[in-house]
Amino acid sequence: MGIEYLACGNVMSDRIHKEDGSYSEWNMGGPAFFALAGIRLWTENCKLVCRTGRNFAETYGKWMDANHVSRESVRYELENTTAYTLEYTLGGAYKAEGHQSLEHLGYLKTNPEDIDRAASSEVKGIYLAQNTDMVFWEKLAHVKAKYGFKIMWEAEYAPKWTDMSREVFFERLHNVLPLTDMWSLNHNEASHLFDIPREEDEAIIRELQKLPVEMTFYRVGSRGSFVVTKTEAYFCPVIKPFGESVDPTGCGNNSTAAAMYAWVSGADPAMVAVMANISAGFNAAQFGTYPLYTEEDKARAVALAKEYYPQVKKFEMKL
Amino acid sequence: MDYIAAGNVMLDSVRFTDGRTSNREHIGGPATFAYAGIRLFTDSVIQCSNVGADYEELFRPWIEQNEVDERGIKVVCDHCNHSYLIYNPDGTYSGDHEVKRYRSDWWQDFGYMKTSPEEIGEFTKQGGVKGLYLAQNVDYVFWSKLRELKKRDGFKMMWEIEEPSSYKRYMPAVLNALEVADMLSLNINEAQNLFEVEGEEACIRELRKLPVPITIFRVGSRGLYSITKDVVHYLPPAYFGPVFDPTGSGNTSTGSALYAYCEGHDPLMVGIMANIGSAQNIRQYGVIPDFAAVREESFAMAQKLYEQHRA
Repeated sequence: MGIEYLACGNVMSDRIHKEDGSYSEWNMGGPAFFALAGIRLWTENCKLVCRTGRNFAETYGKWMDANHVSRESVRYELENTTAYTLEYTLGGAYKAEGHQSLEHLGYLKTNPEDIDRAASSEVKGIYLAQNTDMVFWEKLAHVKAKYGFKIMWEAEYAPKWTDMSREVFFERLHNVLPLTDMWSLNHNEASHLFDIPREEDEAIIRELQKLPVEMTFYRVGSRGSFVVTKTEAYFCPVIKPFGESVDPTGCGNNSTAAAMYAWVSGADPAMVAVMANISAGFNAAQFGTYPLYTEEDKARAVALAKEYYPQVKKFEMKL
Repeated sequence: MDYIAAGNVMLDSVRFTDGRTSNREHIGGPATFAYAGIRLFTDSVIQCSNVGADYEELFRPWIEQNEVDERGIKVVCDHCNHSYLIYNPDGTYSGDHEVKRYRSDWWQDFGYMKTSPEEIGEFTKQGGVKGLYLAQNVDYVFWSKLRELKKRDGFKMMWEIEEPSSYKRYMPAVLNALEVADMLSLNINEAQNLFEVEGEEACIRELRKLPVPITIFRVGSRGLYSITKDVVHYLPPAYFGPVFDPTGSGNTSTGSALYAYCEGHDPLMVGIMANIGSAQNIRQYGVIPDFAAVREESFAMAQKLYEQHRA
């Protein structure tokens, strides 16, 4: 069987600046790499589509080889993989300090031509973290039409770091969403976007249901996630296969891609939420990505999905 | 196609300390200005740049006026990079931080629109390219790709070093890039930072040691030096009229120098033609508006200045 799922976009190494002032080791990460891991738990038929630094091969390359993931769509364009130091603050927000320029990050950004080169008619779904640039999306829409895959968009919405107002983002959102099949955002982003306190799940879900997209994967931090369709929503609490979270970095990317895999594979909304949260649970069990996905891990994930699925309830709208 | 000017496009607004402003944006960016410096002397040049969809409004009249070959212009995102420059009394400049900038203006987009070696290769592989202009940093992987391209397609290359790479700590990487480049262009601030020395003389001493056939060393309103291992020519600015806007003069003169060098001129004429490119650029905001209108006077001025310097 050929490659069916693509994790597209940036790769970034990170280290955590801890409360005591010390730093963690450097960890492999970045939206696309975490997304790749989220899919890889469930299937080997996936690959990474990215532009990165030549030093990628020493670390990420070894991980990919060990996990039987093709490197054929990894392009080495610069010396160094993008790297950030992250500092978490209360409430799950974080500060990120780049070790290269934003120009470096931009040069390594995956473009629609890269996805075109990587895709085939066998590809069923792709994950992509991206902004709302319409030239980009119109080009990607052509690629999607060519191969017929579905797109999971993790919106790059960072109001604190940009001057883009919620009104402008909201307008652009309505242009981008019809070109996608699924999208994902977290409760901080949704709260800012809709100007609703992030604890008000129902009010936010009502707003999400008005958007022109078939499915929203809505992440609510350490509480878990919702899968929201036009007519219903399912909530799955966080799943901890290995106990308490060691490092939440990348769980959003990881679970979003797993949600894409599940949705495209035909899982119902409740099962999508469960599978996404299981992937995130594997990701949170250590700094960086889960080191080696084995057949035993996959069997464990499948068993966990069976265990948690009956516990997921349809979210009852009260208002 | 004899020449390629590759790299970034900017839409520039400028403000001077006396309050004078450009009032509106003008087309610019290293590749556009370098294109102008080459196009001043020959029609056989193409610009290879990634741009935002908003390039159209400002670029279209200029493209039509000059019948610019657009095959190398690729729209990759919504917005071009917009730069808001403030000129200081000493001729230096910086970004205007009072201007509200949108996400599309982020440095990330600057990187996203950066021309890659593969994009340049699409044009050099057709054969016959004499010279390539590129403003670029010192990244080893980027230069290894350029090295392969040059080996395959056999052109000469003018490298305008980007300011963030012009520091002594990058010297090994600069020397690596100079194994590929045939010409180097930099200004006095960049040279002083690169060698950690002060003054023109000290910079020239260091520049003469670099393993590159010719260097254009730009010293702002004082003009430039054309430097080889054997000779150093100081050339004060050429004059076609008063200075209106210096934005892009370094890129324009560097493009003209590439043309002169590849056409087989000696270092003196290379420097003179570089100065003429710059002198034509400062006569207005933005790039030279009509190449056909000023080409003849530019060649004539080059010849006149060459004879004066030789006398």
